[in-house]
Amino acid sequence: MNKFELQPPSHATAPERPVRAPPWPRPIVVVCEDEPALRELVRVSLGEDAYTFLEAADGDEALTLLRTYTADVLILDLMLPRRTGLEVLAELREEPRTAAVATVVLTAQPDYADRARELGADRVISKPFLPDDLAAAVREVLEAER
Amino acid sequence: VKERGLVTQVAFVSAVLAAALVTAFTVLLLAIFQLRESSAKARHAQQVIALANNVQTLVVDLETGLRGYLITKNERQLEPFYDAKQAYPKQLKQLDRLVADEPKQRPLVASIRQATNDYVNTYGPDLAEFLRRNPTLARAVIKTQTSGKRVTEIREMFKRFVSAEQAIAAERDESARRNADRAIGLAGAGAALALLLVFLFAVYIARQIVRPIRQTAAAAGDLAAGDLLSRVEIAGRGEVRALGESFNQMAASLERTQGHLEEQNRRLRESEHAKTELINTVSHELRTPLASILGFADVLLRRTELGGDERRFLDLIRAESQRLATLLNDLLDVQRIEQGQIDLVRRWIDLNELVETQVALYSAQSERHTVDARVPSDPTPVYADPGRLAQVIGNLLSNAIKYSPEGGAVVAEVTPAADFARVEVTDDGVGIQPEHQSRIFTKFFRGEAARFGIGGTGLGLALARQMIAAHGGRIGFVSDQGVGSTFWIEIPAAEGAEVADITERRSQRAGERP
Repeated sequence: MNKFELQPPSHATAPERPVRAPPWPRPIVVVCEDEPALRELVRVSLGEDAYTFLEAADGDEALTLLRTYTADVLILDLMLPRRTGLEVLAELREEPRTAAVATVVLTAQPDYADRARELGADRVISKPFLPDDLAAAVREVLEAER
Repeated sequence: VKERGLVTQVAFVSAVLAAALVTAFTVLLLAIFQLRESSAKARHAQQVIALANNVQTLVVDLETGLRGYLITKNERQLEPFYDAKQAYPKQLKQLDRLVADEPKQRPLVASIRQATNDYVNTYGPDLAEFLRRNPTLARAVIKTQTSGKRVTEIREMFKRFVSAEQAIAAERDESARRNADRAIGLAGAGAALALLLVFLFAVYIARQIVRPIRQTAAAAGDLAAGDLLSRVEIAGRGEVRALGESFNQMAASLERTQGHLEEQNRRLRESEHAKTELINTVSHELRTPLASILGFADVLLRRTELGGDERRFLDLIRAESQRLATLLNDLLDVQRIEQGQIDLVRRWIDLNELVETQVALYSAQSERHTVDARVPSDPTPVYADPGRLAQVIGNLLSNAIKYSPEGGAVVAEVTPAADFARVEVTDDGVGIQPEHQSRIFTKFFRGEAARFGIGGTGLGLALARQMIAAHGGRIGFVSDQGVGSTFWIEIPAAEGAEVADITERRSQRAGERP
């Protein structure tokens, strides 16, 4: 467990964060990123208690998760071991079950941004990013889906 | 063996040709002179014959006069006799002169003179006197034909003289004709020889000079067209040969150089490719850890109750991470622009709005500076990539603030003009040293910024210049050291068909106003 998670969520420092509580189910976010630190940063940025996070360290894991659960958002790194994020993106667009998932792409290579958009990424965020920017992007794609 | 030079060779051949021609003409001239001399001699003989006939007539006149007198006893009949007697010695003398070069004829002339003198002395005036006194006897003399016989003898002599002279004339005619034939033959032969020599000379020029030069010219044409394997067949002599050899050497050298260049070029491309790869990789590899540093620093700043120092340190970590991210972006931008990979996403924008936004952003950065925008009341439409243009203007504002470390006023002013819009960013900072002014748009050049403790990568202005160039605009500056700098950019305002579009947008905007 990360030590940050032990601390109570500070709504005062992130006022725009949506407060989601039962009976509404929390949105499911699949985080596909090979760097554990960054997976954690994504969780912390979006708010541990606002979403249900499913984590994948590579594209295959992410596809398995997406086929198994009905995810609301996929946060996808492009530079992944074995198959690249772009390949994962192309593959999930072909399957009816995964095709509709909202996607926020994280990339360290701005050159791939256009290609990712062509493959249906809803938002492209370059690394490094500010936590608020990522949170705002996820909120926006969720609202657009609704 | 040292080759004789081309000029020497041509001179030599020309000299031979000239000598041959001179010889032919000399021979021809000699033949003509000889012909003329023969003709003159033939004419001379005819003259001699004519004169001889003349003298003979005079002798006949002597006899005729004498006879006439004897028959008529009229002294007037003697006049021809006296006339002839007076004229003949002179004419005989002339005849003797004319035949001076004819040894056989001279004695004959002498005999004629002797006989004529005898005749005149024997039958001259004395005979007339004698006749007056003894007419009968005198008639007998006439009858016996004594005088007539004498004259007949003289006429015989003349006949021999003339026929001898005619023979001489005939012989000389023949000789003149032979000479004429020979002259014609020689002239023909000379002309033919000259023609042959000229022809040979032409063949020589064509073979030794023209053909090799033409081949070299053709090969040079091929070479110029890019065929580096073009070579000439070595032919000719002297300079022409040297030309061919030099041409081949040059072509070979070009081919080698081209090979080297291609090899070098290939290596450069490889090295360039490696550099690109390196920058891409480094940039990517740095971004992931940087994302953690920046992200967690930001999260900490928001969540944690922090002491003054801790907050300040976290602020520093976040700010420096962002600077590092900007640096990585600039590096990638420079590389992309240099490789022509930058794609401008251009649309019609209001330059005033863009400048005001940037000014608002940067005025919040420093409390010691006042950053103001001066923009016209009407919109200033430009066709540009708003993100890139904002980057450039932001860079100019950031520089203006950075290079006025003591604080001061920074002004960004927009001036529309007929076919472009101008933005000037003026500060009253440290200015630029004159010796640095020519280099400030050079990549990684930072002048004395480091010495003043002013941060930066030296990429900002290099990028700005390339971005503005990509927009078809211009960038420049005026700076006085210690007084301040003004950096300006000019962006083309409108081009061609899009002018109509912009007018429409303007009126729409005007309509939207309350």
